[in-house]
Order: sequence, then C-alpha cells, then structure tokens
Amino acid sequence: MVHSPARGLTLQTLKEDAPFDSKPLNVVEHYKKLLEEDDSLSMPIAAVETLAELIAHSDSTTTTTELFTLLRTASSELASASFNPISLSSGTSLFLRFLTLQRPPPDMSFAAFKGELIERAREFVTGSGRCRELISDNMNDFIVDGSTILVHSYSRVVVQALLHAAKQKKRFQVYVTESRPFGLGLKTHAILTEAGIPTNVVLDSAVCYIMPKCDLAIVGAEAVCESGGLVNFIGGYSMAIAAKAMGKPFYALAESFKFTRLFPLSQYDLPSSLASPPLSFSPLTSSSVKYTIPATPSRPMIDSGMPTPLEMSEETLSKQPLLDYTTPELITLIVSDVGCLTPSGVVDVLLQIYQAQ
Amino acid sequence: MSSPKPTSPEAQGSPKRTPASLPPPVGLASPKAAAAAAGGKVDKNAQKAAKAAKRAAAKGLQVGEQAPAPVAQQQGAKDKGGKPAAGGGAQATKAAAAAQASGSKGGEAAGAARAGHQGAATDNTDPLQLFLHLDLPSHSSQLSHSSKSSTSNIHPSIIRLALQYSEFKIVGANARCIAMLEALKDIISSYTPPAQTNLTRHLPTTHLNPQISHLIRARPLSVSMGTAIRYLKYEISLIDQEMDVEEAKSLLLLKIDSFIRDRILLAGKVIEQHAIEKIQNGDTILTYARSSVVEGVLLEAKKQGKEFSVVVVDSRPLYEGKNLLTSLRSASIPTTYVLLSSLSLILPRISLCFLGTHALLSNGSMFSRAGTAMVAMMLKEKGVPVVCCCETYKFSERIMLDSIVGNEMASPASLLSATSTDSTTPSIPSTPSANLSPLSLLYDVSRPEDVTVVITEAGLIPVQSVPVLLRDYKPLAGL
Repeated sequence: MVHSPARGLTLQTLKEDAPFDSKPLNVVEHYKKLLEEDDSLSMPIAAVETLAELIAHSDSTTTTTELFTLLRTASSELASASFNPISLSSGTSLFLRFLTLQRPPPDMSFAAFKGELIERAREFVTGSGRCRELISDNMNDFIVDGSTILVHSYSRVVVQALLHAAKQKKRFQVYVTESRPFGLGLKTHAILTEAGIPTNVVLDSAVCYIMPKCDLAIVGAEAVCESGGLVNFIGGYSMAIAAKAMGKPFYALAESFKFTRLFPLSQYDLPSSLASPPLSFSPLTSSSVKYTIPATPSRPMIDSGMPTPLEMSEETLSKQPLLDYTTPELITLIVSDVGCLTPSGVVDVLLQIYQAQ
Repeated sequence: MSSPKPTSPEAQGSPKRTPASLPPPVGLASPKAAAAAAGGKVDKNAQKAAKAAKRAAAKGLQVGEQAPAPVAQQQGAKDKGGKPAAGGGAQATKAAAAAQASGSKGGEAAGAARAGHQGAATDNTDPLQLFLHLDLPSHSSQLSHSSKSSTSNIHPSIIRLALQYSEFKIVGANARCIAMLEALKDIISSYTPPAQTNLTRHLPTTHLNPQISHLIRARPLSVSMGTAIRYLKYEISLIDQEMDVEEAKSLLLLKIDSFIRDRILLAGKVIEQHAIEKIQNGDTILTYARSSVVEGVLLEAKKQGKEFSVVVVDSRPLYEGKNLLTSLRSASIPTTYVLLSSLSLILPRISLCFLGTHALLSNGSMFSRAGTAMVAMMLKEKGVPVVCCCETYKFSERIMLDSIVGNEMASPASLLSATSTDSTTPSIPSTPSANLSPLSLLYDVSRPEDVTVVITEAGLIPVQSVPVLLRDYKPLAGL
C-alpha cells in the first residue's frame, strides 16, 4: 500500500470532510498514530478503529467479498508489522467476524452500507470505554477494606479498578512489580500514589518474597486465550505460580474484546512476528570479542553506598521475551465486562461470538 | 471365549428368559436372603449367577470337580447371617440360590449352574469380582446364521458386520460407525414397509431395533454409533407420513451419507488442519495405539512439509499401533515403536502427545483404548502437552467415574496365547483355568486434568468446555 500519512490533515478533518477518501490508507501508520495520540487506547480497539478508517478510504471496493479481502490483508499487514500481534489480532478478528454476519440490505447502496459499518465500528470503539467501568464494578466485591494487593506491571483496567475501589473509601495497599525491562510498574506506582493509595514498587524477582504478605494478586491481560489462560507482560506467569503456591487468589482483569481464539499449548506456542524466538543462542564466534569480567557489585557494610548494578547489553536486552502465557489452572477468576468467569467460561463467551449461526 | 463345555449359553440364557418362573429360593438360604432375593431382585440375581456360571465355565471347571453344593450353601448362609446388605457372602448366597434355581431346568444347565455356584461361592477370592457385571464377548458362532438364536429377521449385512465386530476385524470408533451406517444403508435400500403401517412408524422401531440389538450382541454400542443411530432415527421421524416410500428411502440414504461426510470425514479434515498448526518443526510426537484421526494428522502434517518424528506406543493384545506404524513408514516419517512398558524410558524425548479417543465424556474424561489414561497421566506429569483429537459426534453426555462400571471385556484367551516361539517362555495354557483369572479390558477412563486441549472440528477447547459444545454445537439438526 502506498504511504500517505494523512498529508497534514488531522484525523478529525478526515472524518468530517471526506468520509470516502479515495487515497489508500496506510493502516500501519494510522494504527501507530492512534496509539501514540491516545494513551488510554488499547491495541484491539485501535485496530478496529484503523479498520473502520480503512473502510472509509476504500472507495474502489464495491462488493462485500472485496471489502473482506481488503480488511483481511490489512489485518495481516498490521499483525506482521506490530511487535505484539496477539492483542491486536483479537480486535481485527472480532471486527472481521462482525463483518461476516452483515449482509447489505437490498435497498441500500454499497456506499451507504459501508457508512453503516463505519458507524457501527465507531460505536464499538466509543462503547469500549464502558467495559472498564463494568469491570471496575465487577471487581469491587473482591477488593475488601484493609487488603494488600499485588499488581503486575501497568494495565489500564487494573489501575482504573483500583482507583474505583479507592474512590469508595476502601483502604488498601498495593505492591506493584517494577516490570523490567520497560519499568511499566513505575507508571502504576505514580498513578496510584497520586490518588493517595499506599503503593510500593517491588523487584520482579521479589514476587515470591512479597506474596505471603498479599491477600490477592491482580493482573491485566494482553489477551485472554480460549484455554482460559492469559497472555501477559512478562512476569505474569511467575506471579501466578507464586500465588497458586501460596494459596492466594489470582484475578485477571480483561475486557471481552481481548478474548481471542488462540490456544497455546506452551510458552513457546504464541504467535510472534519476530524473526527468531526470544533467548535463542547466538552461534559461538571466535574470540574476537573480548569480555571483561566485572567486579562483583556488593554492599558489604551498612554505610557503603549502593553499588553500581551491572546492566544488560542492548543486544541481550533485545533478545528477552516480553510476553508469557499464564496457564488456566493458576487463575482464580477472569473479571470481565461480561461477568466474572472461571477460565473455562471463556470458551463459552468465545463460542457465543464465533459460533453463532 | 473358548469354553470347554457348550453349557454356558444355556446358563446365560435360561435365567434371563424366565425370571418369573424361578422358584423362590427359600429353602436354600436364610430367610433374609430369601427376602432379598425375592421380587424384583430375582432377575438381577439370576443374571449375576448366570454370569458367574459363564465365567466359571470359561475357567474350564468340570462339573465333577465341584465342591458339594450344600457346603457352599451353608457358607453362603453363614455369611449372610445378620448382613442383609450385599457383600461378598450375600452375593454368593444370592448367586447360589439363583443358580440352583436355574439349575432345575435340568441336564446341562444344571452343570453350568453348579459351576456358577462354585464361581459365586469363591467370590471372596475371585479377583474378577469387580467385573462381574461385564459380559464376556459372544463367540462368533452365536452370531452367525447357524446359531440357535433367532437371526431370521436380521439383515445379512448386519450379520456380517456383527461377525466382523466380534472378531475385531473392524475396530475403532470411526470405522465401526461408518461400517454400521453402510450396513444401515443396505437395510434401508432393501426395505419395504409392511401393509397397514408406514415407514415412519415401522422402520425405526420394529425393523431397526432388532438389527441394532444384534450388533450389540457382538460388542457393546460405541458412543459414536449411538450418536449416529439417534441421528438416523431423528431423521426418520421427520419424514412426512404421506411421502412416497422410495422417495423417503433415498432421502434417508442421503442423510446417512451427509452424516458420514460432515460429522466424520470432514470433521477429521478440520481437526487435521487445527492439529497441524500445533506441530512445530523438530517435534517428537507421541501417540498411543492407533487412532484414525491422529493417523490423518500425522500423515497430513508430513504432506505439508513439517519435520517431526513420531513415537508409537503400543500394547498387547491388540497391537493396533502396528497398523499405524505401517502407514507412517510408507509416508517415510521417522518413527520409534515401543510398548507401553517402555513409556517411561522414551518420555524425556517427547515434546507433544496426540491421542485419539473412543468417546469424550462430558466431564472431559477420555474413554479410550486401555492404556491411554496411563499415557496421558505420565505425559502430563512430565509437562508435555496432551492433545486429544476428537470429532464432536463422539462427545457423550455421560460421565464415568471409573473404568470399571462401563467397560468392555475382551476374550481373555488372547492375553494367554503364546506370542513368541521362544521355547524359554514357560508354557501357560491358552485357556483360563481354575486358579488363573486373566482379565482383558478394552477401555479406560483418563483424568480430565491430564488433557491440555481437545481439538474438535469446532475449534480448540479446554476439556472443561466439553459440555458447552454438547449444548451449543449443532451442525446437523437433531443432535
């Protein structure tokens, strides 16, 4: 697709002035822009918005099949371009599924039909904000006064649920994992502290240490799989194992549009757009690269300063996995806008969406 | 079953046929036992005794070898004292009483009954006590035309099929179901409703039911066959009473064909596609015995260029894995063949496990070839994903808590028959004898938690969601 990054037009003017722009839309760029502009937008929603925009630009398509092919290519283009194709494709496949169930009424022009589709997609996008409110409501019962909560990384829906609970004068304290390598936990820490919730950041490696002090663990999700398991930012799986081992309830908060028809059998069965799997060994090279063995960072005395930590090299860092798969038997409940589900209840919801005749 | 005496069919038949004519066994046991054995329970007890008799006969006991009946009766009565609940002794008493009763038929039956009496009286030590409710398979001679039992109304296709079932010429849920549907097609095409009735009313009950019961005499109905029969009967019920018979018949043949195509063959193709996505290059895939679906998956994966090797785990006495081995070899897939006893040794190399199943119960248990539960359990313990491939028509609404209640018994002779010409193996008589009770069960029930995923034509689902599919998935009307 030829690249034309909106040529100075803002998204709004595009929508208002030219609902059927003949210029082909660069879906990848548009998707990227949407995510940059609005921090609260989650990836599946941005993907749906992008596809809706694509329909608005698809002047040349005159049949549903054509439109469908166009959207399908766009979806795979988006998936292959994005670092995390899983969460995005839950949005695109939902939209494609919605489309297969639509038939243009005989008395409607195809352009009008497309207009209708765009309308419905936009409704879905604006309506998606409501999901988080519903989840916050559903989660309310699980956060009791005086509890200590362990949270993983940064998730918009988890933060909103915690703020919602705090607004009702519930007193609770939060431990949040630092979530290396991006340090997303620090964002959660900043938001919660600002709202007056006592929050501590813990090292990712300290999850097991702090787990006995916590009453429950809450995570968000990049995607909820058909198995009832979660695809999560790296560290979610270890937190779930620790919670299970120490008998703490482990709740996952996820909007229903994050449910995907994906059934990973193991950690390594997740779709990825990376060329090589994470943490693959590089072939041994000759001794041209000289390694200097660093001194051991230590803090022997109470008055010695913090040692300079050793840092991963850029290359090592780029080889790290960023997502892991939490198996369903570790999850207590998946709290979503369609209700609080046991892991096996996810299939029920998915089949309602994807099996409807 | 190679019975030394022709008495067992008699013993099996007579108490079942004439439960009402049994004399009350008051004189034989304590009054309590008599009370327990009286009324509606008589039939049950008689059956129990008959089975014990059959089993005892299978053990090759001679009538002359029997312990004197009164001794055993006393034993039974003693055990019975103060214990009205069914226990080992109670069972022996009831069985003895009923066996004695049936013995009054005279001649051969008496011998068999006494044999049964012996079997029942030694219940306490009989290791097969748990399996008394299971029938030994009927011998093929009982299923053929020459048999005394009435096969007059049975369609020749069904008689042939029953023989093929009973001799294990046709095994596997899919193969049995397809063969049965083909036989039913034969029946339908040669069917004309008698006067004063019509197809809708006559065909499903009066005409088809005896045929199906004849098949059941060969081997119990599989879940897959049950689904197919239910579907056919439903389709018959939909036929308009006014419809021309020939037209109705061709419609039914069409419906059967569409069932075979949509629910079995196409379903298998869809499962293959889903399953191949789960095979990664370099995988070592383990499978147990032979499942037509799994075989299809492996062959199709090879055709699509996946690089993997297969470990076929097999077991006695059916050695079904050898058939799989042949087709994998001809597809030049690198394959290892081990017996179930070597499973633990091969385990560290396995990265994926595909299992087929006879039926998938609604709690997610696989009801499958004996040994599957062990394979699933060991692989799950090892952390290998266990993938169950199962068409939705094999889903069952039943739940089985153990492998004892609803199992199927194979002839124990095949367990004892010599498998090698090695002269160092001590010779075991190929028939069961008095102090030897071989047990050959065909199926077992695996634990739901051992199965990672079920691949069906409706997609990949966790085992807990089998009821969801049972409830919602209706690809053809009426199921």
